[in-house]
Amino acid sequence: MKLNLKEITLSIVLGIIILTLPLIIKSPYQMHLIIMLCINIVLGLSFAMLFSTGLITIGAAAFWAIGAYGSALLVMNLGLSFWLALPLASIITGIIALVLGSIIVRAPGVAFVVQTMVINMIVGQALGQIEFLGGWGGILGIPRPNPIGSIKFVSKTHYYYLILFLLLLTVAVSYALYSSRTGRAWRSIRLNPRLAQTLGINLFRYRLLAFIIASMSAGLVGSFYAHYFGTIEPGTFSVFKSIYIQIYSILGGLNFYLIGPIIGALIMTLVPEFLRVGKEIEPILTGGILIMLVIFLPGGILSLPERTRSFTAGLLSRREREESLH
Amino acid sequence: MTLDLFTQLLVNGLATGMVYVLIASGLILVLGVARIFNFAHGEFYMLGAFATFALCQVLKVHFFISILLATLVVSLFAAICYRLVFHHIRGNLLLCAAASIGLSMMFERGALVGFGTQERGLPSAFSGVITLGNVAMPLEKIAVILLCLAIMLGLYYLLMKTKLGKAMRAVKLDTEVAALQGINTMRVYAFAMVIGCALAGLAGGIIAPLFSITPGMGHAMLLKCFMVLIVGGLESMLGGVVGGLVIGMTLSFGYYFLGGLSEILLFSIIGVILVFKPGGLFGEVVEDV
Amino acid sequence: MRRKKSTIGVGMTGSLLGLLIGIFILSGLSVAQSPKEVKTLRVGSTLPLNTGMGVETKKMLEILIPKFNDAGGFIVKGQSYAIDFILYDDKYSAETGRAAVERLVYQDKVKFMICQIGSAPIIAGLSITESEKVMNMVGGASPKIVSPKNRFIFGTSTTRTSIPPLWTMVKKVFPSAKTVVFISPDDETGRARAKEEIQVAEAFGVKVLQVLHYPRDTVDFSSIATKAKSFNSDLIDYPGAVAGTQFGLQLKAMYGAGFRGGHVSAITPQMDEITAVASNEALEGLLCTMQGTEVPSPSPLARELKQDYMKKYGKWSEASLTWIPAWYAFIQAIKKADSLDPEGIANGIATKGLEWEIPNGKAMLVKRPDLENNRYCDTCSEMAYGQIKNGKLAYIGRISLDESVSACEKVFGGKWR
Repeated sequence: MKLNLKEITLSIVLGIIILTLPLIIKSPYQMHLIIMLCINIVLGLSFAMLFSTGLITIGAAAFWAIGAYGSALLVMNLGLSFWLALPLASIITGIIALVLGSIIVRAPGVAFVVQTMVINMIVGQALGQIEFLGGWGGILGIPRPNPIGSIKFVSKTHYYYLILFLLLLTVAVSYALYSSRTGRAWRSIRLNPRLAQTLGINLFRYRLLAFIIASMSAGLVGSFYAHYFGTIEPGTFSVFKSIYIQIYSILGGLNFYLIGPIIGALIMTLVPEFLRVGKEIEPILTGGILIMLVIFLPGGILSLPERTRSFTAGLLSRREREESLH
Repeated sequence: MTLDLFTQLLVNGLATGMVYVLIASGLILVLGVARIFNFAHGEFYMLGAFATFALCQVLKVHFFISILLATLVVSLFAAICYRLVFHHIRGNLLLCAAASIGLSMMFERGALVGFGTQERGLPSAFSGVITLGNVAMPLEKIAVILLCLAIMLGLYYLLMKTKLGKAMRAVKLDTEVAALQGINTMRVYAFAMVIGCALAGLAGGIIAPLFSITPGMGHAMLLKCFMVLIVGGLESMLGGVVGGLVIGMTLSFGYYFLGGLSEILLFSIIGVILVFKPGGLFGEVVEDV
Repeated sequence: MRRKKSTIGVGMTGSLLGLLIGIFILSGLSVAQSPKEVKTLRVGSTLPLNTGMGVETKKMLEILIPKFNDAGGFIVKGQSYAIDFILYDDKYSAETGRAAVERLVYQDKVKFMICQIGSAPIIAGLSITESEKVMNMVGGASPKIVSPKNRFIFGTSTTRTSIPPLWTMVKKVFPSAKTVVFISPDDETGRARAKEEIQVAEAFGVKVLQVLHYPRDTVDFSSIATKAKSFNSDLIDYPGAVAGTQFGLQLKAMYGAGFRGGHVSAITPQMDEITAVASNEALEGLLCTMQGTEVPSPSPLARELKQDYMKKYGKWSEASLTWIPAWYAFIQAIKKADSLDPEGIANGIATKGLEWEIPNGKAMLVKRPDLENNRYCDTCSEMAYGQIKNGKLAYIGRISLDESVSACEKVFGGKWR
């Protein structure tokens, strides 16, 4: 993708803002929101990756939970360092995704959606019923990440850079995959599975790959979540959270696998904050805004450029219109 | 196990099961015909219950008439929702699902703010027991079973014998071809939504004297509905019936024998069913949404 | 063409992101810099505004706090302070609760918190309130709240300590009862309460035949009731049940299943809610706690509270009474310490204790040696009890504060005073 000067400067400015955010934002509360935002973005990216192959999942929260609980147990019961538990949790989630995925990815379509929901429900119930995993009260007192040198993970700034790193890692890996042959295979599977098959693309293997990688990123950020929050309880990882994750992609734009979830998560995380005016009626307003956005911007926020372009193009005369199309 | 115990569990299972069938049928109708996965379906059920309560307790209307009027109110409300929201994004499953989530948020909190925090209940229209031989069965539950049965028969008649029903089935099979045949698909979508939500509202009214009426009752019911759909298949009415009865019976008998583990057992059974029959017991595997 | 698309895409994205972040920063800055003209004390809370008890507690505080401010507020070292109360919705969830606490502590800079209800949000916010030394008087039900590691949080509701006094009463009302079955919701509260009540029941010589857990959202209790009845126990107890219509449905189902023994409940049922779903016969004889506002001769505090509430809202609701002891504890703590330093006050009352007045009567902080906590961290109070007769809750007796604490010591062991 060739960039012009405008894009380069914009990206640099954006990059600087993101990297120096803790210096600009002094309030730990707002940093907390940004950190939660980053977590939600990664979860949204997870959904989007699966969606790029045409699979809709409402079970992302289950893998988030596996990563969180896995990491907490590895550190608290086995005494591992957080830095070891982080990748391990992701790998464990990946293995479980491999096993489950092999079973459910075979039946795409609505059946798959339903199966992901069942997985989410079973995981939620199991985490609540099993006393060893803390039961309904969850696990408390999960330790902070082990200090690296002088970085002690007490202030939000340290956590921010860690989650930023994880987010960028996820974005980088996703971007690499989307631009590669794998990404092209995914897109073709989404567009027309039968046709893709005739071209020799193995639907099952590519979808399973997406499933595993998407779940691993959820697991990765789950581990971060556990050690950032300090407590985890089964209620957080419900089907409703998975559905929210889906909304991030829908709001941002389903066709934009990277930027879509970013915008969608931004809206869903920050808008309720602005709406704090009526504490009791906040969900009513958020629900209303959601409906408005879905109706008026069905392609997501990122479809706005398209729509304004075609709108302005419609205003131009015929000849100018033809010229602007090239 | 004594006959008495068995009958009690059977009647309980049937009664709850039939209610699930009713509500799930509404959901399946909306999903199959109008292509809307209505996450707010539980809220229509809740509205039906509240409307029945308002009519019955506050306006002192006779119970049966209250249910009918409440269903009308819910139908009207569903029609408005359809026209304002779903009409614009019809056909797109994901967008409709997202919009229904927004509606669900609004309705649930709206009910809490509007109706207040107090939980409500209705006295039973039928109290007492029927005794057949040595076995005592609560009249209330029998009434529920019979009512639901009657409504399901009515639904069957609607779908199979009336023009509208045939139109709905046609649209469900293939929307484009149905349109080519001259069927006004937009109206059919609207009707499907109205009838589907009316079923939920009706169930809410029937349930009102049995269970409590709270703004959050929709959410819990929705989860059970999902399970019915999972077991029975998302697009099959017969599946809905079988699924609802299976779930009702499993919970009734299962709880007695297994206690709290019955939920996990239920989920596991569902999981296993899905592995072998991914579309549910009666569903087909649909290639991609 | 594709290039233009992505240009505009990145451009739009960038501007949108920048705009949102800009608004975000600005809003944060403005709040942090708000000037303080009047001497106020910021007090925070998070409540589950999606539940009845949360909304009712909010309504109750909206009466108590303005009245307190109008009467002069706090007078500490000669200077008077009005309370600036900040409340956020925690939706009874850990995630929302944690965000709300972060906001209260870091943005609004509160040093005191009161009246949180749900264990999940309380525990989620613990790491912050503890590390920032915010004194927190909470309700909650989980014993994890009063773990010895915590230094600034105090359980001010009797949720954890009301069972032993209850069973003292049970022995008086049902002297011949030997067996009991528990019916409990399958959530953190239900399981914790059930475990505790087993210990208590057995300490009083009543055998627990079975504990039945139901999923939190259950409405159909017929199967559970059938199963519970099959044990033919003398009593049924409902640890951790929620006070509304769901409880009424449980009683109705038990009656329908043929159970005619005694019913015991630690919580006060909402009478108008349970009578709406269950017949008088089904409710008859239920032994339960009675709120201080409903006893035949309520204390002046209780009477005033009820009057003020009904004047503003019309219809009375008891739903908040379990949770507002935190408010009374808070005012008493500050008055006694004559200081506004949360750390000092917290340490003071943790080592020396606190006694204060609530609608139910006298309350005091107690230690929890059974949980290895030798600081004053939990609460016992006077309790009143009633039995339902003909659809109405009739007063049958009280347990004094002393008896209450002694009952707890007897069951759980150790010195609580």
